[in-house]
Amino acid sequence: MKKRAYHTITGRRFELGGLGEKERKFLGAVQRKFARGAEWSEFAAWWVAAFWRSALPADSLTYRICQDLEARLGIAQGKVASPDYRDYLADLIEERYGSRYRFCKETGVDPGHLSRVMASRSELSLQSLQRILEALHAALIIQPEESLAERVSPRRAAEALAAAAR
Amino acid sequence: MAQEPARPVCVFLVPVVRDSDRKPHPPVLWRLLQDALFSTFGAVTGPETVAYYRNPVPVRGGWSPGAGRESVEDLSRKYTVAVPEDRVDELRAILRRAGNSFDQRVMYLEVAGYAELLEVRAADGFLL
Repeated sequence: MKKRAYHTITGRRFELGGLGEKERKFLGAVQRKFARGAEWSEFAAWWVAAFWRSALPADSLTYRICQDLEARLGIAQGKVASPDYRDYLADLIEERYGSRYRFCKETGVDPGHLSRVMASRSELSLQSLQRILEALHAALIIQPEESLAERVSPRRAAEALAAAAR
Repeated sequence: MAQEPARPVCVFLVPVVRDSDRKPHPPVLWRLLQDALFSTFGAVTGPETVAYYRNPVPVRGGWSPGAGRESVEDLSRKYTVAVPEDRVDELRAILRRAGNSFDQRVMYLEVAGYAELLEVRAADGFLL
């Protein structure tokens, strides 16, 4: 059987097969709301309230999925920038190290500099980026813009959620 | 039964564009803000998209870009959270860090109906 998965705008993969009953029910409601279409902030306010009411833990995959859906709407509606290398790094760091604090501690990267980079107030030199990518076991790939547009589209997420709900 | 102490309702605005180049923020910043609010205070109402004005004279929902400069209308996200009185400073600290991360010079906060314009300094740090 094909595994059900959700891919974020940065390509992070969340397996949906292991979700519990409560998470599946919550995700079903999210899928219905998202499929109806919504303004970026309206969707954000809705899912935050619904998540709080559901009493799911903050480390539930559904929390990250909702943040990703919100980002897609914001990008599609021109209110959020398309993801750049910072978003990819943030996701990889969370996935591999759990927190930026732990990542900086274990790799010797200056946390202050990384915070400024994440806030677009500073840039990484190519050498620094290379060092971080090595620590994350990641590689830099240059892609055409069209493939990014497809990856961040709300439609693609809606399809993945609908497939998961079946 | 002991009554829970009253919690002042705090309202704050986060502009949807950067101060320096008026470009929208990357997705990661909205995520960091949400994580910080959620882990510190739990339930937060909003956001709601509202129009606000950058005006030479500080007004409700606005801030001063400097004397003689024209005011411009921008969109902002409005959040509401009821915070115990002794934890309002934690919210101010998060907003100052958010100010640096979201490239804002001033953050607008209302505490129980009283407006505050939080000046953002480099020493306040960034959202983690």
